[in-house]
Amino acid sequence: MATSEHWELELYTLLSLCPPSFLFVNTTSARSTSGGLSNVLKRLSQEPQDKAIFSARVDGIACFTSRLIYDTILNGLAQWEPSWADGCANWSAEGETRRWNDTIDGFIHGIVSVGQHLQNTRVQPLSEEKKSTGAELIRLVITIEHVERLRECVPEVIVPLTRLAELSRLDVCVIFLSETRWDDIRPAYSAAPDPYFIDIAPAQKEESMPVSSSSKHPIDAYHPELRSLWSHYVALVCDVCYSFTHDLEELQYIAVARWPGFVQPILDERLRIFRDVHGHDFDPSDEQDMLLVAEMAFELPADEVRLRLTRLFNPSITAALEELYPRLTNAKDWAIANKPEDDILAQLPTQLHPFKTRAKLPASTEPVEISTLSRMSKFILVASFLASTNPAKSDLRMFGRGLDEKKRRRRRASKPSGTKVKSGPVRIPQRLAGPMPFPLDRMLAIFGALLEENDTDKRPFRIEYSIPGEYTDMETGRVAVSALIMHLCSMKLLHRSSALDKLDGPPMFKCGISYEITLLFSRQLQIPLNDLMWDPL
Amino acid sequence: MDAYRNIWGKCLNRLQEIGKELQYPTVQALVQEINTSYSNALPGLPRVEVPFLCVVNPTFGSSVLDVLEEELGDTNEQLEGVAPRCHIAHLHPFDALNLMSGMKALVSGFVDSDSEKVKRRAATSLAPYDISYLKAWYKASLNGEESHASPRPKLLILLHDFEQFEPSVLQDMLYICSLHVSEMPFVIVALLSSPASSSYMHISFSRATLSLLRIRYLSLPAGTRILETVFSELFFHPEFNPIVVFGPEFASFIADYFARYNSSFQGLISILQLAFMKHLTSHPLGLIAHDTPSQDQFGGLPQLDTLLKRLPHQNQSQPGSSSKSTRHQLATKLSVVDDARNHFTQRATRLRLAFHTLKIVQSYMESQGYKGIWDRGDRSGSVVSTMIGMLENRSGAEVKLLAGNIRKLQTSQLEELLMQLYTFFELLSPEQRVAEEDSRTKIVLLRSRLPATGTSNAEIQTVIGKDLGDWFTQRMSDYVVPLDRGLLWDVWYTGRAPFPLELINPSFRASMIAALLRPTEYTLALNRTNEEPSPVSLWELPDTSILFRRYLDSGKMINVYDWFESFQLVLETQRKKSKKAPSGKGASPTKARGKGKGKRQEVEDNEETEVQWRIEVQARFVRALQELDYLGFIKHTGRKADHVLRTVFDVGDS
Amino acid sequence: MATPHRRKRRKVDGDTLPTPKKTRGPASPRKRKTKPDPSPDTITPDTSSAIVDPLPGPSKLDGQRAPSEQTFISIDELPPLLPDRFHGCLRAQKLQILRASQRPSVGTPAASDEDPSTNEIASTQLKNLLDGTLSRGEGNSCLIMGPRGSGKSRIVEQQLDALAEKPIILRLSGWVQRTDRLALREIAYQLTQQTGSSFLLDDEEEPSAVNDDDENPFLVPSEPNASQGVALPPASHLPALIGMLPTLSRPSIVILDAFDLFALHPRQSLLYCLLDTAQSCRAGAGSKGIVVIGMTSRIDANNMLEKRVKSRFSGRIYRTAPPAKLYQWLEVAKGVLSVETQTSDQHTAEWRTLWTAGIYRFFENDSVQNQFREAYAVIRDIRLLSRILTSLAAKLSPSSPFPSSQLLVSAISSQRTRPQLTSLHQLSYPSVCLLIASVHATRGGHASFTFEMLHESFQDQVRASSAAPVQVLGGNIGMAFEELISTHVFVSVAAPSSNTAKEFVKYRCIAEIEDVRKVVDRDGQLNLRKWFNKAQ
Repeated sequence: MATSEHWELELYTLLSLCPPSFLFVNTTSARSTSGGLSNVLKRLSQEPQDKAIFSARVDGIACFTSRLIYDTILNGLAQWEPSWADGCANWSAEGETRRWNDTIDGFIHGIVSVGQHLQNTRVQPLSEEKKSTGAELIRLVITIEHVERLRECVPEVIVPLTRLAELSRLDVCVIFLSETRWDDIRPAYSAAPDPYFIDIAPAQKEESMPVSSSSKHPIDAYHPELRSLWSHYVALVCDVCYSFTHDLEELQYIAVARWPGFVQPILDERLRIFRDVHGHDFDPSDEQDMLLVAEMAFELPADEVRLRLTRLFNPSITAALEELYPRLTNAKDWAIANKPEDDILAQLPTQLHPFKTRAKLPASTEPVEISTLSRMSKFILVASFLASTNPAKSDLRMFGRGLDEKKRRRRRASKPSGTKVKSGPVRIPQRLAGPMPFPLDRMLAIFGALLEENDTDKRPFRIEYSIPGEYTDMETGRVAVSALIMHLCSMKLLHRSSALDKLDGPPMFKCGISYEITLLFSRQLQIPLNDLMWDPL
Repeated sequence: MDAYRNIWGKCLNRLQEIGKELQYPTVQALVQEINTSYSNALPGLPRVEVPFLCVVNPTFGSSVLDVLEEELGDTNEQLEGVAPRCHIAHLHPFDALNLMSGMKALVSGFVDSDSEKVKRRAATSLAPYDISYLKAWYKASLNGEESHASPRPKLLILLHDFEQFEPSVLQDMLYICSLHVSEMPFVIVALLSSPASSSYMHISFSRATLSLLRIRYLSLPAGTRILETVFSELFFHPEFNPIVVFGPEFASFIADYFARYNSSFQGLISILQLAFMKHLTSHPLGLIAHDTPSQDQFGGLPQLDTLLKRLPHQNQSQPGSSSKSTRHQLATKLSVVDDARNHFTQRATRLRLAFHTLKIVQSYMESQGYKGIWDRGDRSGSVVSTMIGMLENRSGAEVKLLAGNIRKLQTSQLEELLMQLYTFFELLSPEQRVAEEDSRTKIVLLRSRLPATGTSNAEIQTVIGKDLGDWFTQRMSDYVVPLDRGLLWDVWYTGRAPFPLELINPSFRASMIAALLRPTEYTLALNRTNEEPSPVSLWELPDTSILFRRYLDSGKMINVYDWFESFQLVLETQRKKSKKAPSGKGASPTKARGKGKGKRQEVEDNEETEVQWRIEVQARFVRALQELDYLGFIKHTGRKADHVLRTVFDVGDS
Repeated sequence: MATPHRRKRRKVDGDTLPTPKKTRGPASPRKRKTKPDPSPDTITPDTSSAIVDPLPGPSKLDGQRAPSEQTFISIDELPPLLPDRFHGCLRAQKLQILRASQRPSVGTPAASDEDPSTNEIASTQLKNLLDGTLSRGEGNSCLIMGPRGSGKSRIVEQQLDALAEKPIILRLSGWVQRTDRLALREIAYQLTQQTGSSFLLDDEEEPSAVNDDDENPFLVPSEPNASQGVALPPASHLPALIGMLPTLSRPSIVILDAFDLFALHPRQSLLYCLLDTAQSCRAGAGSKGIVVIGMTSRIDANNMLEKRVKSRFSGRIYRTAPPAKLYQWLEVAKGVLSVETQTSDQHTAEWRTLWTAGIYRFFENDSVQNQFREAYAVIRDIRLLSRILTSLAAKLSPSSPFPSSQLLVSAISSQRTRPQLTSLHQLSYPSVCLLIASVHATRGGHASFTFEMLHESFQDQVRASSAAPVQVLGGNIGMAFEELISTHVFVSVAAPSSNTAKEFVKYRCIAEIEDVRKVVDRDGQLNLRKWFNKAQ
């Protein structure tokens, strides 16, 4: 477990001196680690070493075929940029027209020739006498991120990559970078040699966050004068959020989103001071004003002001975490959505209420959106929810009618309230264990029952349906109903769990909506959902 | 029929305009987002986020993207250099089945867009699904226009029906794009059809992916608002005259269907089309709906006499008049038809005007915070209901309420209201302004009588309010007249005819069983004899129906052999009957002629065709059985020998 | 940020000198018996004077105690901080150590008193074999067998380097050449590289270029376009190509790494051809010799051979073994650590005295001894040792110039005894809650759980006591769940299917309840611990 500067130092030492041929870097946040790794590599390539170091980076997700991996590595090592004009040709040694990206053999040959190429072209000028000794003067460093994905997409390349040094007989160092453990990636039969491990601890709270970009505009949240305030503010954000995420980037994201609002009062303060001094309001268009403000001393807020700011914004930072960390909204919109009202600092400290957020989660507005579904589809969804939460044997009791006898309303009175069924050790309610698949017919039956109970009064009267229940029967049989079911499937509100081409037997479906949405629908349709659920909440 | 064609064509154009109108604001916002997507990012973010715009439209199909594309196109050409051009790639679910094909589609979507091709040796150059291939192309295109100063052209990715994409594939693609977003400014527009889009994103995508994106939600108008707009624009617009006006039955059914089943714009269009077609084609006089054909082409048409029957017989006094006089009569009658049409049109127009006045007053009242007739809850729905109400001439209560409200208005409010009414009337087309002369003068008069603002003069104000209210009620009462009066009204007005439900939305099981039970009705319906078909006895039915009857009589499991026996009995009777009356084969029209012929020749030589007959019976049985099987009425269970299982029970008649 | 690079060092060390010694633990100060060290420049003369005479090289301080008391003095005088004139030396030392640790020299003549180690036997046998082939042109075949990291490849390489004239060396690896055709292609390629003539599927192939073997049937080129990769020779060419090997101008050596994988190829045709050629290659008959060397770690490798193949294999099996005794292991370690540096630095001499003293003290430390003993007792793989030493050397810095037992402990813990779930110890608060909830679910008899279940129990707990933070937002918890999944603490029990919603996929917690307890205790939140203890 090494904090960042430690592992960077270790890696630097190894790479600059004599690295083991296969490293495995196990980290908790791949993105920041890869950043540090690239820093190390950059320094290595800049500072003079006794061996010229060339590096290539491969992303396991982006390179989902072996060909992509080979191309990327070779082009990266040779620092070759394919150009559109010559048809995006890969790197190849002079006069050579071999392809390197067909098999692992070809790849190894490619690496060898890349090595020779670099040996001849790059290293030659700077060290003649070493070259005369015939020692190889280059070191190739290949970084592979998201190795766990390689295991899924192209498992056959892992072993050769780990043994690349002995296969290509070059000074190659392969660095695997992954969030998962080596034991989860290690090929079978111990085919790959054990790597040299480097474990990276997540960033500590103390590690500072990069200072956000600064601008010269005097009335601006990113004025360089505000740096110190920024550092205080960052400490505040870390205090609030660190226990919930250790990811520095997330913390930074939240901090950046809250920052404009945070400095807003101070800027207002400045404007007010400006008004007092120069008698007129500041307008950015007037450059003379700009000059005045620029030469106006930017005094940092006093400590008690800072404390007040902290007290004001503490809850809002928590709210920011709640919304921004799951990305319910994005930083920009959030920052716009809750700006503090104008100069709250001017108010008396007594009437300072902690500043609360007025952000609207999209999640909260979503029921409004979803309620634009057509009435029948709501019925279908509720029915399917019931079908996939209630056990099939309970339908008769829940809906109080078998297929043969329709319209027996008084059976509903004798419906058991689902709470009484408690048996077995700890049984998980179905809505927690996930929806069960159900046959279409069952859902249609429940759908018919629901219609019969809750829809008879709303539908336009038709004379031709004399028999009770016949109308409902017709309704469930309509073409539009099945069309709707297909449509809902396409919207992933229903999941079809049986194959499309399977003809025999009824198609199976699964409910795709959560309990809350179902509750909403049933309220709109005046369906007593909880009475119909086998184990209600 | 052609009458239908040009009427419907007219309405269809109208509808499409309406659709465009509805989509337009969202598309505008979308274009705005796309153009500013990279300029307005918050500074200091840990990394560049990929702008990801979710367009939520449950109603309009992918027509939005077409609108968007042309919109982008003309913005591009109108402000050249200001708004950066963008390359567009369409991505459909079926070409993103796995990651490789998805990337290939993405890259080629951009690369193939421009014409100039570079020959490349496939083996030794970048793979066509390589993102760096796209990067090379993008670099080349940049150098082509050396536009580094102006914002670089965006790479716009349009994801058609988004829910169909495999989320895992899409996540990887997004990740790959986000790796290169610093070099290539991607903008992703996803077209979601499910209303619950925001939750969909969060349900199906992992946080790691979400943190790469900057997600904005734009949603298109949906739900009953569309219905309202379509109705008021199509049927109740003072300028526009859809020659046919739907009766309350049609309107309410359409509204109901829209709310119940299919709340998509296309569905609405199709059901309207169906309604028009039904009315104009089934109505005997459909062809005079649009315009009256000239006499000579009218002459030969069969509808002529029906028309003549319908016309008032004012000049039937001298019978047996000469041909020229009949021509003359015909001319007069046709002119009568034209008058009727104009008459009807005028009434319809007045109705529309009335509706609009109502709407103006109402919206003003709402703006003034009065408790309107349309409470905010489901306002749009009840707008439609009001239209229906006006069609049924029972909008009195609302009018009374509004009039009462008007009488209570303050001076300034009165002034504004009058102003609005005035402008409304001014904006009418000239001939309508002529038609509305009196009401306009009335309004002008009232406005002139208004005291200057500020000097609130109580009694004048009450007087004026009263006048206005009276005028309003009066106007409504004499403009809202039921349309089913006057000559030939049913040509242009569907009246109370019920909507042909079974056409748009049949219940297949019921209809199928009905067809099997009473095949004759269906077949007789073809030739237009409207008399009640005489109840046919069993033996006249086609084989399948016979089999089906027996099927209904049988129990849960059917012994195929017994079934065959009963079937054979029926056929025997059939045979006897046909022996008695060799011409009896007309009795069941659907019975295949071939069978009849077979029977006739077997009438001639009887004795040696017994065997043949048996074979025929068996064949027909098997065939009928197969049909039932095909229709899914029987289920084969290997449990009992030569038994099949019934699948349909308790058919609601016999 | 201490940079080993020299010139930077010079600039920076002004501020690195006073830095608190992070990596250097309290042990070495405790072991120091005498006064705290004076400033470096004062100590250097007497240390240098103290050890003018015999440098305690690796041969002298082997295993048992033969220290001279000059070294004792110098031990006590070891500077805690390295005076900057030695930085170059330190760097050179680290370089040498790393180099050496990549290829540790097993079987140093240290253990001269007993019989030679197995590896020496193996290498001599191999040497004789190669001599037979190269000088007398025989066809030979042998199998080098030994556990991983016991030096098979190294022995072969040593012998190959020792050879007088260069034979044709064909290296195949079972990991790369997965099929015989790939192997064949590779053979052809390597032949092309080594003998200028081209054999198969080179695009600059012209049959006339082939000089020494014109009777080869496969030289009628089978679609010689290397541009698309399908240009594999048909398997029918296999015997011809292999059979041609002895006819080449130079003797050829075929090295098959991961021999057992080749034995897994269908019908073992490659092995058959190679061994057959090797066997049938008569000495002297105008043909140069060929030797087939297989390397494998599977004991039953030659039982995997089919009968016809086995009959052609000369049953020579040379065994290699890791060092058999602890002291040999220690020997290796010492040999690696106290490797000579050849730098042209004027301070080299005194640096060596300091260094050897440091090494000596390092190995005297009995906790170090225990560490090595323990590691040896578990794994005898020499590569593990090299990894340990690598990380040991990599962590040396001017602030702590000499290996200490703390460094060794950290090295071993990072290389050998790796913590089971490293990620488990930096979980964020919601993740810990989820872990506890999962423990509860497991105790409740549901070994596999969905997110909804965990969330439910979590919220129950929140309602029951205020165990939860301010926010119990589903999103936040969900994110934590993903975190746990991404670090493989929760593994899915079923294959992921598109039509199961994310929160209903069943997972299984691979963290043992003990690990969770550790986490909870470390986290130290009282109500969390209470909640956790409810599961007991």
